[in-house]
Amino acid sequence: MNWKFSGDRPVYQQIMENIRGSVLRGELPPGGKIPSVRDLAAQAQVNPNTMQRAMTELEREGLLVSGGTSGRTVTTNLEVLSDMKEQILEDLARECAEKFMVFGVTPSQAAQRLLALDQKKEEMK
Amino acid sequence: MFTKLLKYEWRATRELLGILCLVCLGASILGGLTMRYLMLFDGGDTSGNFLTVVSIFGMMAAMFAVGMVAVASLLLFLGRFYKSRFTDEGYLTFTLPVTTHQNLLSSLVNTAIGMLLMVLVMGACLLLWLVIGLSGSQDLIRLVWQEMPRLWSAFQEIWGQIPWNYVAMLGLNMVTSAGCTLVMLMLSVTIGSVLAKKHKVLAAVGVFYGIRVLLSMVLGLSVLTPILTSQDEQLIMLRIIRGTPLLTTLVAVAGYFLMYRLVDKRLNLN
Amino acid sequence: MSCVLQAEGLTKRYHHAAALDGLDLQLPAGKIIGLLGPNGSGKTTFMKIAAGLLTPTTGQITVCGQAIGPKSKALVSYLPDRNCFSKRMKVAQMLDCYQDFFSDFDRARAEDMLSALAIDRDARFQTLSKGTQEKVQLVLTMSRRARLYLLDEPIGGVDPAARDYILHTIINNYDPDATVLISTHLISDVERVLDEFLFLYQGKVIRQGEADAAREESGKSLDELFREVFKCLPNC
Repeated sequence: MNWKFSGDRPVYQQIMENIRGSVLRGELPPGGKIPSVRDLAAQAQVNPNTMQRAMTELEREGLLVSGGTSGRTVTTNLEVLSDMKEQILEDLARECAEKFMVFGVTPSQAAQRLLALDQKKEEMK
Repeated sequence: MFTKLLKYEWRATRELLGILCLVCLGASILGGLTMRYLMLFDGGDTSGNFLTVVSIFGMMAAMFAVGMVAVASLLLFLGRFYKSRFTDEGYLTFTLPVTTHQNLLSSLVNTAIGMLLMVLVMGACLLLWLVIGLSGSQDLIRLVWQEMPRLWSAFQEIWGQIPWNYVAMLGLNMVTSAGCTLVMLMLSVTIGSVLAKKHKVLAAVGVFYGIRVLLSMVLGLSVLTPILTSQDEQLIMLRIIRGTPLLTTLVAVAGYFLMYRLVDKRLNLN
Repeated sequence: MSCVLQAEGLTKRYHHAAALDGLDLQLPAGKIIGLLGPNGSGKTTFMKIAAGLLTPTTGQITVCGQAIGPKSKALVSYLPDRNCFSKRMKVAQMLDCYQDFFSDFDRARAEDMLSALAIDRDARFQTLSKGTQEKVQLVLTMSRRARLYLLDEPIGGVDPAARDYILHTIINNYDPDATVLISTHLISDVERVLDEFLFLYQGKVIRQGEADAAREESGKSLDELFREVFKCLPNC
């Protein structure tokens, strides 16, 4: 996982995004074990309290499941996972649209550009 | 905790102290040898003149060295006190979980024991000096040996006349005086370090001499008062000999508590 | 014990000015807290008072309910911004010294850390590079199982790799009963590690709070927040 943080947003939120991203990319598979708070905090070079908070929030969201003394695991609930993926992709799309809007490009024009990119990739193959 | 502090104080000073002991030993041997040469010199032989001069210088150097050893050992202990409490090392010393009394007393006790040791070592070295120095003078030794019984009985007669408690009091006087001087020295270092912003060493020296002046005035009073308030010579002597150790001890205790207060409340390391 | 340090009306006055001026603060247990402020704001003075190196002019301060004294010193592990060991001491002797005086010293842990840094136990302190000297002092300080760690400018004069090592050690050492107070002006290096922060100015706390909460509210990093708060104050 890439633990780079920017200082202007709460660290615990950035950690949550990182972990969600890892799950989606398959680095942390469903049902897979999550390292302990201490180990993860050491890896990420953040305060264990902050890591704890992020994990607790993710547990509340349902992405992580507490196994009691044996630690946390990623949920096997595919619905939760697909919902999360949806949310992330929607946020990404909205962010993208906002950025294009700054240059006066509407969402449908933006969509055309993205399709054009796709075609170029096909041509290069 | 106190014994641990004492252990570390000793460890910090024992190496240099050992070197000073060796210097003292070396100087005493040199002194003894030069003395022996000079004692045996018969004065007529011109070819021995150069060696005589060298011997005289050697003996003077040895005397100087022994004197220096005494001064150096005192400075060693005071230096250790200053360095470990009032320089950057103080950042460690004063964060140790010990009381201020333990802190100060460990240095005081270590210095007292160390100086006592040095006095014994120097005494032994001077004895060695004499033994080596007189080892060749057969005639002198024989003479002293012959007169020994007469000297001894004369000494015993005088000794018998001195009241025992006078001697004890004099001894007590010496001990309290030495102890008080030690406390005053440490107090001077403390005052110099805590209150002076620059030139701390100079300030400490200045404070020490100031204290000495003050003390001699106080002590002068303690000698003067019995003299002025009594006609009986023996009573005067008694009062002086009894009063002085008491006064000295009081001054030492007062000095210690002043030092304690300064370190406890006004410490400002930088 | 939920409160590791409590200061009320803490004042330290020198002839010309007050280094601390009626400081009130409470440090909870189990947190890593940043003591942030410009030079002369009183950070070092405060730490020295908590460590027992200075006495306050007025005000109260207690560590885990104890007044400052031998008992509090046994609970506080202080890392000054300067070398406090006799230069001729060997590293092994420094370990012995800590072990002798501090019952909470974890020698095994210190040995592990020194081995990981490949520091020779028999080396005399003066022969080590400045960065290594600071690391040794940090290892000793953090190997104590204290209740309050006071780190005065721990990352000040060291290179980025050493800074990472220092922060790594602080994180790894985390103990929910203990609190770490880090005083620094290199905020951007340290802020991701902080639970809470205190802005100190002219001997008073002018702002405090949780790091993440402040980021959420202001949309700024602590570094940016610091610049914003302090740029309009005189003597900064």
